[in-house]
Amino acid sequence: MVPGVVPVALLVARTDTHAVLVDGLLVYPTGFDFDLAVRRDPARPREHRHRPRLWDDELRLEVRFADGRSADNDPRRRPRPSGDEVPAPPVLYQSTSGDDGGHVWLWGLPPPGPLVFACQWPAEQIPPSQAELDAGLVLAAAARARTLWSDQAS
Amino acid sequence: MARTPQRAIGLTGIRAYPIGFGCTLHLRLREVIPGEQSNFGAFNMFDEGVDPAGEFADYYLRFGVGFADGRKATNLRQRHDFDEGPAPDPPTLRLVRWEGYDRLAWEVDVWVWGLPPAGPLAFVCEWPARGIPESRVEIDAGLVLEAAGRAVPIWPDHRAP
Repeated sequence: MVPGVVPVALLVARTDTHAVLVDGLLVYPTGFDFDLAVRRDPARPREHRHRPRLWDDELRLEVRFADGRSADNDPRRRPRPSGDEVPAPPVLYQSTSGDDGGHVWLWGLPPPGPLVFACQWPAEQIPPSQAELDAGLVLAAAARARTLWSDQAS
Repeated sequence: MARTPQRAIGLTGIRAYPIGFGCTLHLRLREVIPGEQSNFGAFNMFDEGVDPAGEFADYYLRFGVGFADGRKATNLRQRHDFDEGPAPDPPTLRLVRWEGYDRLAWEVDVWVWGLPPAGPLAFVCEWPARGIPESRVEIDAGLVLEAAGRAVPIWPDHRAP
């Protein structure tokens, strides 16, 4: 499909040394994807960090819907459907991750109201932080998505 | 940018900064084609797409940008060493992230060093082995320049990242 675009750059967290942004929202009828970008103050030397072995050491991201549902990037909570079983949305899948952020697919569209992006990264001294987006922007973009080939759903 | 009965190429997510802009190239395959590489054979990540004569193979997806003043940058002449040595003459193009999904979708993030002058900004692609001739779309470079003007430093008291 050709996605609908939400042209925002959301500053979710900022400390003296790090910033976390959400941008590049591409919306489809079944969900949306976005970039989770980590920026570091270029004036400060970059510390070499061993790749964390535990999710607890990584940047934690949670997306919250206005109706109370939420999804996060904890791989231990990722549903593992079997057979024809379909997990209940929202489901968050972070396809790439690392010190510079990652690429995220969120399965499920939010209801109208505030759409919250929350993060924390204890290992980098980023406290719980969040930013909101009007879910109406996402829903309007979903309505603008269109199929590439008319006889196919994707 | 281009669409055939089996493939499509699109562009989204232009992000503008004072020194250049990024965008995302989307490749879509209508259905899995037996024998086709998982990345559709689109890019030579490490120069393996160049034959001994120095020509790019037909399966190599050509992509570039063209400025209104005639300057252009393509993935046929990438700079791999942005972090070393003097800054390149703009525009210069670099592929910075590529990622595939379910064998039918592929994304490539592109960084273009250098902002375009006012006028049309062209995005051009060509994929000989996949039946896509040179295809060109244009946008108003003013959109990119205006966006670059809206960029703000995260840490105002320091050099912009």
